[in-house]
Amino acid sequence: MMDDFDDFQAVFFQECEELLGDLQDHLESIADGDFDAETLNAAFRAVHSIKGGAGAFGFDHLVNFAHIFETVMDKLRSDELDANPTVTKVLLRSNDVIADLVADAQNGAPPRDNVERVRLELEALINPAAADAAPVADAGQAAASTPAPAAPETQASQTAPEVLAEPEEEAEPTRDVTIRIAPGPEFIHSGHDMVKLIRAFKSMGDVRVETEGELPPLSDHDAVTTQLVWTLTLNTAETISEIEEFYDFYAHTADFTITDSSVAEEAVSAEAEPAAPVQEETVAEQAQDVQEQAQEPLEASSATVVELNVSSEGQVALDEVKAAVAQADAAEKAEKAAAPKATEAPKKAAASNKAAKTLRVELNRVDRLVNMVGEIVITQAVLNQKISEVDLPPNNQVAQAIEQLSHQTRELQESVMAIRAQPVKSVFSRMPRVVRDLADQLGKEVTLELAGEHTEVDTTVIEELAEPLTHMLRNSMDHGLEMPDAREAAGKPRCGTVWLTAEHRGERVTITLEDDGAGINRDRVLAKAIEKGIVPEEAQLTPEEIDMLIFAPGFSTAAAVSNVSGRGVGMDVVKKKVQALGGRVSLQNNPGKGAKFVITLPLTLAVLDGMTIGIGDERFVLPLGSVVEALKISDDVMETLPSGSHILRYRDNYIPLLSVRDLLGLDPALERESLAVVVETETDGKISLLVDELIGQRQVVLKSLEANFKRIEGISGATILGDGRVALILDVPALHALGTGHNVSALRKAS
Amino acid sequence: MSEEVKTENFDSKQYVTFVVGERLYGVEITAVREIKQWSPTTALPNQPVYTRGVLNLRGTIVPVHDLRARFGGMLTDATENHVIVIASIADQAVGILVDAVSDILNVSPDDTRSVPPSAREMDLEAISGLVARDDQMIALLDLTRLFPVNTFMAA
Repeated sequence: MMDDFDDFQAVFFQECEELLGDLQDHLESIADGDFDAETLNAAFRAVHSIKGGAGAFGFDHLVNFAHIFETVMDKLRSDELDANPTVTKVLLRSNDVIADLVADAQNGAPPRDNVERVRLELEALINPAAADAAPVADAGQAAASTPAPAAPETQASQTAPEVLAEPEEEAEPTRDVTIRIAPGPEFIHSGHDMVKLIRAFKSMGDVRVETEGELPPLSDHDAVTTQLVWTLTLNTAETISEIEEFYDFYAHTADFTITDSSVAEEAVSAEAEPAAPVQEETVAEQAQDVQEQAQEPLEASSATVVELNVSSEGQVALDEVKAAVAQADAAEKAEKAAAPKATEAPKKAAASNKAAKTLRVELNRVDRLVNMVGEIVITQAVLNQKISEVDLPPNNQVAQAIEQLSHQTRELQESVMAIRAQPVKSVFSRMPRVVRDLADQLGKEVTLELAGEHTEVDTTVIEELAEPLTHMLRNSMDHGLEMPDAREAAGKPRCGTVWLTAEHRGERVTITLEDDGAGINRDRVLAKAIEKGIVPEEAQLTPEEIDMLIFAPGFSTAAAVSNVSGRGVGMDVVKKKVQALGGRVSLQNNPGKGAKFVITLPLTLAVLDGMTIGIGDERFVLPLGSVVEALKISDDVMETLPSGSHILRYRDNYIPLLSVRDLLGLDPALERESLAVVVETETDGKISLLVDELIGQRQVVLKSLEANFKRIEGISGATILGDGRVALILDVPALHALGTGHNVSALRKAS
Repeated sequence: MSEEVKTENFDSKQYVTFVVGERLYGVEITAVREIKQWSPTTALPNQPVYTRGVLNLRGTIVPVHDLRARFGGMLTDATENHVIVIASIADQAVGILVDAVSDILNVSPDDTRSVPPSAREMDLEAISGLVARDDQMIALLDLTRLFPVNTFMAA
């Protein structure tokens, strides 16, 4: 049972995550002024659903906050509150807080300090407008949305609660509200628990509980179907609609009937003229009988109100009531079908739409699929190799079939990878919050511009991306952007801008973080690096090399260690993380105008298009994307520098020529290599590598060396060739770093 | 043999023993995943001499170390008759190249002698105990210390 409970809780948190994502989107559109009533409704529903679930699991802090948040959203919905910048700012902050609270609830952590502050901000939004108008408005609203027939009906069928609401406090008058709950068979099956529900109600006021119905003897007891009908008398200041929304989460599994004593009284007295209360009771009672017979969870809709008001004018035959109920029932069904905006229908409709479009699958199932496809790719390579060893006539059917198989395998693999692909949005959407928090903390004005959120990248890459991105963003805001006054003095707008964009570039994805701040102060960076002993004092560095120093381990320009950036972890951690993902970071510094960081990442960590090369007996794989061309080497294109290092003349340029043999400490060549492969390093331009032979291009499945061993410099991973042997995948930029003894490059190597 | 094993002292542990040259070594049987015939490995750049490279163990990449070379001997001239013991060290799979697998032994703690402190550091470090059987000494290996698992990045 406990396991089930945990499962339900896990589902709740999963849903929360989605709801929070939606909520953030909606709130941001609201903040941008780009919204309509549906956006407000959707945002309201998101908060509301979180509250409902939280109530069921007894996360009180979350419920309390969500409740106030929801009240504000409701005011926005009903145009009582204007979505001006002050309001939207509070809303965005509330979104952050509610996300925190969900996380805290999940981790069992106590609520953070900011909860109370933001809660007060929200209350401030409610109160000025509500100070005197609220009770009236609430009552009006309650009366309007209270299912009128339900009121007398419930009241009649139970031991009469105290009818009069006695205002206890001046500010928030409470009165008794009775809620009759008849759990349907689905109630227990849906994982609900009456005790929890009742406890949740306690968050709104004092609760008195009575039950009707009889429990069968224990021998006949069926734990799942509950015969009892519960009547809660709640002494609360909440409006009926708020209470209704509160139990909305359960509404499809139990029959709820709510009566507001104060309104009921008004309603009764208002309707007293045409109908005697006694008669009404009878009718209502009969109506209820019908309802129970029908076993239909009938939600009182406006149609029912009209019908029963009419019928209550005199003694009405049971048949008529039946007809009325049936009609109301039909009306309700029709309403649900036709206008999904009614009551809880929108949620259901939304849910079913979603179910049709997406399917939630455990990641490890997909991983198994990915691994399997990887194996197929390898097996297919084996097949290819074996077939090529057999002497077959050209254009034979076997070769054709294999050719076809390889196309299909590739397609299969792409489809599987597409399952794992996820828009970077899930990471990007966390960034506005980082900016908001930090802007407050630093006293800077910052706008974050996101673009390309829909760019899709492999899930694993995305998960790993959040940390380095956050760090870079913090870095840009802390060190890059100037204080508003300084910006104004420099002729820039007071509010700084950070652009975060993602886009596909061939087989890789590029993520750019650019700011319009002061850029990197090279003098300061160099001085710092010398002070830290990262570079020798007499070092002659190019401006670009100085810029790259910020990625050096142990480098931090922050004079004081702030909790913003410079916590001992610096950009070197970012670089390491990105490299671990098979990516690179590069930097364009424009002193005075801003800085631009570019991260390029592979789309997937699982498969790679590679060029197999041979060096001696060993086989290596170069990422195909980095291979520019292969050249036969003759003496007239190869030069030796005085230091002994080789360079290659390549299209009017000289580029470094590196011996993979030497770099990797392989057995010396029997004869001099005759081929050079020109490769693009992304960070340091083109270089060329000496190899013995080019074997061919093929798709390879990336295997980790780290899983059972460790990372090896110059090698980004391994793969399994057609003959079952392991080939290492060369890490071109790292090889280049290995090959150049320059101090800055040596630093890069170390990182 | 397994029946005999079950009746043994509860405290005793089973060891897989193998031969390298004239010597016998033992590894706890619970650490041994499988034993496989030697197949050529792919050399890894810039690694210690005793690291023979990596091999493909049903789709995962497993490093192979030469036990003879690890104890300061020559590199084993591996042939099809040589054997790789695949062992688990802290959740990582590691291959150990040996000459041949010998036996499975029950060793009770009472039979285990510690390495004399006068021994060389390499022996002290990697050998958890010595067992005498049939006039032969078996060195029980402490794999975690013999082939430390690298979780950090190579410098």
